[in-house]
Amino acid sequence: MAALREWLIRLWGTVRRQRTDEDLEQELRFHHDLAVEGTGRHTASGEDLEREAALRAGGIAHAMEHMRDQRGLPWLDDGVRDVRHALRLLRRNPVFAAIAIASLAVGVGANCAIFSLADELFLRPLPVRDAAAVMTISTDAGEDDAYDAMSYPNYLDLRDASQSFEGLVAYRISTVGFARAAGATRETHRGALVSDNFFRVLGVEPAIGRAFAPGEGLVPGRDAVVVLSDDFWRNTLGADPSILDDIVWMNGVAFHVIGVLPASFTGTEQPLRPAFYAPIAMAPRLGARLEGELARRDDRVYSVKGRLKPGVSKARARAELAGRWDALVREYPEANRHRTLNVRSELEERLREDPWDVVLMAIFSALAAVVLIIACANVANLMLGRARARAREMAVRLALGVSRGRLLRQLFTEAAVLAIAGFAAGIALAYAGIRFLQTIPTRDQIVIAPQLDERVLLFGVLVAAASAILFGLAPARQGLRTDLAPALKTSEPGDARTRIAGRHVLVVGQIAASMVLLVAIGMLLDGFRKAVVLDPGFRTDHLMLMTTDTALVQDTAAQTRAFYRELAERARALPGATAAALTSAVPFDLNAQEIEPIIPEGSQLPDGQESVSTPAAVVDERYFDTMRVRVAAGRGFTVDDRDGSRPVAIVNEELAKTYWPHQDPIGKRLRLAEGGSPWLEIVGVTQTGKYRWIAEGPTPFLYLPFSQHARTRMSLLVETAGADAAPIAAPLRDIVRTIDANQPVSNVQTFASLYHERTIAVPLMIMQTVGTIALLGLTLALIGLYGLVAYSVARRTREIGIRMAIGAGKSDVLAMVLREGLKLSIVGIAIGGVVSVWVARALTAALVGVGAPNPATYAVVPVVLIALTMAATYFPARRAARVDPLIALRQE
Amino acid sequence: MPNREPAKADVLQGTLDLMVLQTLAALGPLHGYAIAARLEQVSGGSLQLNMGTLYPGLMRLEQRGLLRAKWGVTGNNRRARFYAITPAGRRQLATERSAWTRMTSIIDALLRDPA
Repeated sequence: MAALREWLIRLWGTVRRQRTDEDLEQELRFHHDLAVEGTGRHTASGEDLEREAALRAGGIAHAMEHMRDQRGLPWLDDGVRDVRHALRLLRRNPVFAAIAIASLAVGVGANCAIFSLADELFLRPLPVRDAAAVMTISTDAGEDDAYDAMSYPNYLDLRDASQSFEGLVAYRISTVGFARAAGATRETHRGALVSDNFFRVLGVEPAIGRAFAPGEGLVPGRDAVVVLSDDFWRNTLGADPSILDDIVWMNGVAFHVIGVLPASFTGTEQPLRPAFYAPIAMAPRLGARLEGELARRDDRVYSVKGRLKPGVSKARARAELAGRWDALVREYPEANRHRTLNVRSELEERLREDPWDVVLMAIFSALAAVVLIIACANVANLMLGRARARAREMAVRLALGVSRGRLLRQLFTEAAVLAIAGFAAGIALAYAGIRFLQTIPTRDQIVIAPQLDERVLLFGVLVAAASAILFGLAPARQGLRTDLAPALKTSEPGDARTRIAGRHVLVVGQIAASMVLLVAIGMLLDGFRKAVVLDPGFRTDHLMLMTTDTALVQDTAAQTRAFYRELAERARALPGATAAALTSAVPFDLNAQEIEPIIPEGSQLPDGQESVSTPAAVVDERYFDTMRVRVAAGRGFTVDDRDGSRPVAIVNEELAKTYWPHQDPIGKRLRLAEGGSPWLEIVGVTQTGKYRWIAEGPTPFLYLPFSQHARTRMSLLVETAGADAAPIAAPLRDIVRTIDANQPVSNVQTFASLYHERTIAVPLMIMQTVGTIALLGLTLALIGLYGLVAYSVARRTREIGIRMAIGAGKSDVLAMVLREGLKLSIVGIAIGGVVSVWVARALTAALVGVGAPNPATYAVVPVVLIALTMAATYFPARRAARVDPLIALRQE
Repeated sequence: MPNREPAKADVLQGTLDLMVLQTLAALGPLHGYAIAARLEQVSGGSLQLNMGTLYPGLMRLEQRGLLRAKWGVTGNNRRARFYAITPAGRRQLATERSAWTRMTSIIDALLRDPA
């Protein structure tokens, strides 16, 4: 207690002196005087005694030192003094301070903004208790098989067998037609169907009401209970508290609302925010997708996660579950063979699921890191320049006995002060960047909202600290290497040549980095330009889109067929409509894509694979005409392709080329790998278009006739006579309402807006992000070059004066300085050119559609860089040319 | 200089605290020099505190709230800083005194024991 009090008082004493130095000295002086007087100075040997007494009492200065240490906290005292010193130095050099802080701010800001996005997409842990222990369990057909979900019976068997996990949970995302009251209009919302133990195992407690009770949600079809997400409850249901214990209607089934989750629980499928959580056991009553789906081992639709028991490693859990899985493969070879069980951490799973986003984030992060390095080089350069000026000060202090450790601490304090200022300004920049990233177009419960939260702030602190070490190291090394004797003698200590060489290396590195950045952005710009003018292989204008799902109203297969026939016919008959077609997969709409595992007859599949997954669509006979998809050979689907007639399929040229190279694909056969499919005869070949992304490479694609392949969820595409398809939306909704008032519609939009979002808006954001980062990096590099040349000119004023005195003209001096800048920039460009070839290769491989760099990029970028570096060199060069030899020679 | 001055540098921190507190408790408020003089006198000259030991020690006790100090005037009309023990200081003195007694009796017993 007393010790704490002492510590607090000393802490306070550091900040505010409660006793001044004079006060201390007075007390000691009094003691000293008394000690001397006490010896009796009138004796013969008085003076000796006096001296001895004074010696015994000790020196005042010495005692003062100890008292000062006791008064405050010496290390903190020193720290405070160092901070004050550093602040004073910054105030004295406002230009230095501004450039250093702005450089750091840009570095920290860019990295924080990018981190916030990466955090939102991948890094943030699951919003559950002790998220690190939660693993994803999947059964994969191959390492790159992203469709790795599990069937419900397999899940139950693994769950019962597992000893390593506290529990295994299963869930899948499902769309329902949701209504607050029985007769109300249904709206589609996506929610999660979850296993009975979902909340218990994940450790999620509802904010209001309760989660599933033990045993609730186990028996198929019994417990119609639902837990709502906070997001859905607040934003769609208006935070209505009376909803608890009330009934809501999902696909026409009454569900009892038992709880509302806390806002912190945003779901397990980032970035999707499910609206509700209902038991998997209710899936059959919500509209059976398949007969007896909960008992089918080949219905792989459930994601499985498990919480490891404390102390159990991932490897052990995997080994244990893999043993059980092997038994399941032996027991049910039809459904389970060729699949291996894997246990992955959340991060591993996310990175695996979305490789394209990972690549994009890796590129962003790498660019931001380059900017940070350039920024640090700038600051290091500035500090090196100043360290030279201060070498004498350092030498004097070393000579006076200040320890090198103490000096080092002072230098790092200066770095830390800069880093803190840079961090503060950087966070402001990051905020602006994050506001921009928040405008990423998303919809339908997909939320990508990077935030300036404590994780980003912490990351910023780490970045700032790392950069402080980076740029603080160089001047510190220099300061400590100082050779005392020469440093004390002259104002130009040490080997100036090596000193300036270090700074040249930094600037060359910066120019090289800028070169890489510019080539990268050149490639991306080029790719973007190509993307905008690329032909997707179908029309994108004059089209209206609308999605319906008959499973949401529990239609039978016959009802579904009748519904869609009537819908298409009525839509076609609408005034203003010229055509209408149905498809299960909408090009470019990532929420409406289909993947079919197929077995092409007579084609050798890679290493032991039984089937290949290929993107597919189930379409009606009007699809190719309506979408203007060119049928290159054979025929399109016709009304004669009926249920019961010869099973047919249409493939695109890429699929034909992949599996039947140099052969006529018409008449070849393929089979769907699942559901006991018959052989389908290929009757037509379409041109290869774009299916998911405008810049994708040639992708195989399969079309199946709607009349032979049942689907409940279909999208209607209506071609309009007018260029703006939007006005036809209302009559389309009316048609659905008259056919089935309960049928919810979704995704009502013009195809043009969907296409714009995917081909223009998203790439444009990527371009803007990359462009901003690259420009920031370039600007910093130019500032660095300018600073170096300006410094070098200032240092060589005397030399320039001599040159001019012996006859060099202004233009000679100008040329000399410009040559110096040019040399640096050419070396930097050469190095950057070599590096950027590697980077370009990586970008080409990583980003499909960007393509190899345009040779023009390599021609234009160096010219631009040289022009910019010359401009940065010109101003100090002009100053050099204005040197007055008389004044210059009189210096020193 | 004669032989090495005994005990001067060897004043343990805890012991100095104890001696200062005891002196002030017994004699009332004193200035630093008087404390040092008193300790020198009691020890028969073998305990000579230099200022670099005494004053930081006093300051520490003051910071811990065991002493209170204020500037005053001596009998000779000179300004001096007087230290007085606080109630917390008295409590601390009692604790430390009993601890000291216990410790010395243990050491004593140990040293007496011939085995």
